[in-house]
Amino acid sequence: MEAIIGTVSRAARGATKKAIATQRNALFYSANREGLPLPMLRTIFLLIACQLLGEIVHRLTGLALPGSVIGMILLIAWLALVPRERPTLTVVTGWLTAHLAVMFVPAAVGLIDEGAALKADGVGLVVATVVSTVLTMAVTALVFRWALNRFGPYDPVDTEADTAA
Amino acid sequence: MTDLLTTSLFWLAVTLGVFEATDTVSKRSGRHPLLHPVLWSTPVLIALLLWTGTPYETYQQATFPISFLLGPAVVGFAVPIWAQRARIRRLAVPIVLALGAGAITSIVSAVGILALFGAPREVLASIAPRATTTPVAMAIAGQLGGVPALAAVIVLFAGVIGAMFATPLLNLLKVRDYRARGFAVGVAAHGIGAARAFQVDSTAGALASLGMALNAATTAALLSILALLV
Repeated sequence: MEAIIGTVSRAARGATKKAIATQRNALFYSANREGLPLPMLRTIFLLIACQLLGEIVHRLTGLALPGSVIGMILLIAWLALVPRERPTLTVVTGWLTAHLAVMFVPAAVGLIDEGAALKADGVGLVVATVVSTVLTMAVTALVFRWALNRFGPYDPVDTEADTAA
Repeated sequence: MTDLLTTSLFWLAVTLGVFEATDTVSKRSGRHPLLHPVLWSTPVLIALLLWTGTPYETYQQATFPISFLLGPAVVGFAVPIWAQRARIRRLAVPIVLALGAGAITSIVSAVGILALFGAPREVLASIAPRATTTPVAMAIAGQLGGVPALAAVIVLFAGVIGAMFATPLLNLLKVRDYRARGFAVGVAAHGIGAARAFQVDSTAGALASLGMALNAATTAALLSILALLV
């Protein structure tokens, strides 16, 4: 959860940091002539519109790809095409990802009705989850390292700071 | 008075209150993976539902305003991917190969092992998206005929395991490059792993959140292709 925030704050170094601070102030302290904090509303609209479009694509194609994931891909395209929204998006999505954990609590409480499944398959679930997690991490790390060595040369120390905008 | 027990007002207050309490404990522990707030607020809330005799459906409807935010939050993963586009271009080959290998390993090993235990299809569908971040796993599990709640808890558990084993495992494998280490932790153990990676090294953390976001899309895409075939 802090992961994303970390990325954002890392990505937000320098000039962008200033832009974000300005945007944050605009979000919370100022308003346009009608008295509405416009940048935030527009960003929320953008996120929800991307998700809605994603759901429409999901329904039209019948793919099991969730609407929100299609929406994420649409938003990447938007970020690439429209520079204007980038700073506000960084703030709003940073807030959302910082609070991701609390959002799946209601779903996790649904375990209340899954007692039978847990009883029947509890051991298998624990073994499969532990082995799969460890194996996935090992395979990913080894393939990444192999590809770095095989298809290099890449800069040995990754110091280049990426920017949010 | 007891009619409050069916309202959003009551259950939102209780859910946020319980979460804040467990989150404070987690913060005080320096974010120990075993003290992850969801791991502890879930049983407390289940106990409260049982104690008040509230059916889960009532609770689910009452807390909809919280769950609704998951969708826009997943859409928002676009931002860290976009922010690291220069790095993605630079490391395109390792990222693509490691991501593909990791996503396939995760799905095949999790479903394969659980199938050996003779688990039914809906449980297999719940573990298939194990490596993705919780909201994506819940959405995928639901679409494959699995149980979103089960998927949420499996994913959380995987994150805790990944965060605890990351350093000893990667040391054992002698993987010293922080980009490889971070990316592997993000692909295998999503946000909880990425939080751990950030504690160790900022490059590892950035690669971990990249791995998490990219794997959410990759595993979702792989499983939707698989769903078409099976």
